Amino acid sequence: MSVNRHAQSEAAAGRHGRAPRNPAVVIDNVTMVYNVTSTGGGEEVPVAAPVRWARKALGRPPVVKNQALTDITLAIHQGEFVGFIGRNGSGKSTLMNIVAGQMNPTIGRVYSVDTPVKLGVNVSLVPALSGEKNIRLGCLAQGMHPDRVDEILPDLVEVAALGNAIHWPMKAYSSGMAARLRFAVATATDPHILILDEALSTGDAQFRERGQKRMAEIREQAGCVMFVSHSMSEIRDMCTRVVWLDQGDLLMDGDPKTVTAEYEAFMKDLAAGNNFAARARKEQLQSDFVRTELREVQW
Amino acid sequence: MSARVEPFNPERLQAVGARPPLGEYLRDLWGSRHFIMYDAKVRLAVSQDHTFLGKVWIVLNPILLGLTFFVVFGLLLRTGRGIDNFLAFLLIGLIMFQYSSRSVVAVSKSMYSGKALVRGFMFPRAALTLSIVMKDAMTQVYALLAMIVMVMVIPPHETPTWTWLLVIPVFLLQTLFNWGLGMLLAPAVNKVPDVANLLSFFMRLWMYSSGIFYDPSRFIEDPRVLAIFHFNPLYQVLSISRELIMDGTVPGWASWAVLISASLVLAIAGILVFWLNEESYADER
Repeated sequence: MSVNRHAQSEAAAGRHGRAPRNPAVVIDNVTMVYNVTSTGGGEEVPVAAPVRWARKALGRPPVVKNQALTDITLAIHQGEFVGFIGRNGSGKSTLMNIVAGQMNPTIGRVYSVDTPVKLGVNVSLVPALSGEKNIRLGCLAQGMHPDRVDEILPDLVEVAALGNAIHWPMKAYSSGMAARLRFAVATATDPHILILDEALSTGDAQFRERGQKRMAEIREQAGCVMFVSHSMSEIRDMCTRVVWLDQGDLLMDGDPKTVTAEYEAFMKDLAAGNNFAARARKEQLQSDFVRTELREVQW
Repeated sequence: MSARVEPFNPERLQAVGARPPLGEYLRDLWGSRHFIMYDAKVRLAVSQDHTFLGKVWIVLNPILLGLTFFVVFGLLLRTGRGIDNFLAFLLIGLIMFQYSSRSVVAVSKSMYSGKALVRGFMFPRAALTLSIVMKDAMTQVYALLAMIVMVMVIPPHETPTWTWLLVIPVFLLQTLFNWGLGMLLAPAVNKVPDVANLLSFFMRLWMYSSGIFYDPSRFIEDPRVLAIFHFNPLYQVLSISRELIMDGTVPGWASWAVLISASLVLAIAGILVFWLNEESYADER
């Protein structure tokens, strides 16, 4: 390796200061466009007249395109705890679904060192089944051996901390109780890459604390966590890096204190009706934004 | 606009959601066997959960079906259309055919109906089709037992012979057939859900043209039309089972050959087509 290239990769390895090491997750130019039916508001996708008439005759509303993500490129390293913030509809959940492989992006690819495990707000397991059996099903679905499930089931039941409700069907659970159960399932396999999409938001203080502890453990095991939340205090407490998405674009990517402060100022402008100030702030951030450029190398 | 350069080696990373090579895919599928078995068991257990009688319905459904036809054809009409023990003929036909119409449609819809699991976990998607097939097969075992008991109990009583045991391989081949056909259709149903609605009509058409209520060899003269019946694997399922149970004789090799080759060809074609479309199950519509 030449001195020059060495220096370059050293710099690229960033704050880890180690030899070149693959990022845990690489999001490579991901764009996501949804086709949705819309009952108003214009912006329809232009289609040939016969198609339009046919849709009208069938009573199907016209289709509009919803650009959820625009050309997102990010690299997330092992040991990082990345918070994703942004307004509702900014594309955070879409990005998490794509990284977890639950949705194919319209353009682009995601690479990862290991299969990402995502914990979402609305992953329903089998509603008619008891909590305990749902944990078993979830563990088996992640490829765990039944003997291993028997071994760790008592621990998982304890992590979920549901008391007797663990024997009730999941349809009888409150949203917070279901979140506890899903958390137990998602963290059962000691995932390297854990994605949490507002998974802790429905829980109480006790559950949040347990959840935060469990995530810290995963990070220590050289994993990485991607974390979506609207709670800035939670983001500041837990994350090592924060990414701000707005209307499908990256606005900021950096240290939690700086990014959350900017975001809070932006939201304050919006809440106060200072749309002009907010737009100016957004434009400034967009022009200052340092794009990530991926370089394919072999080592 | 400046840029931060990140080197990465795509060869050492996996592309998320990418379709693995066939060999690896089949190995993963084998690795999912515990999940498949448990999921099938669970599906069967909760399938009648919304009813008061619960699991009893799994046995009660085929019995009530048999009783309905006993009342209509055995008590009210008393017609056999020239077939000895018409009631047994009808029961075997209905119970065996319904298994395929139910299971093929269920497997073809699996990527839609199993969305919660598909979204939640990254297992090979074919595992879901297998667990649905297993659940339907377990339901069918109860239906077959009910069918056997009914043909023995309802007059004229059939007496068991060793040939009844050969219904087991017929059932297994039919299961393979259902799985293959369902998987072959699953990618299309996932892309255009309307196909599933058409499929139920198609299965009904198939049922009426498989000799449910009649024995085609009795009134079809044209050898070409008879050949169509002969090469219909589901007709063979019915006619082989009827011969095994009602006549106590083993059908000739030609019937078995049709059933065995159709099941194998469909299973292989089904898994290939399903695997080729593996990435499409995460497409947004």
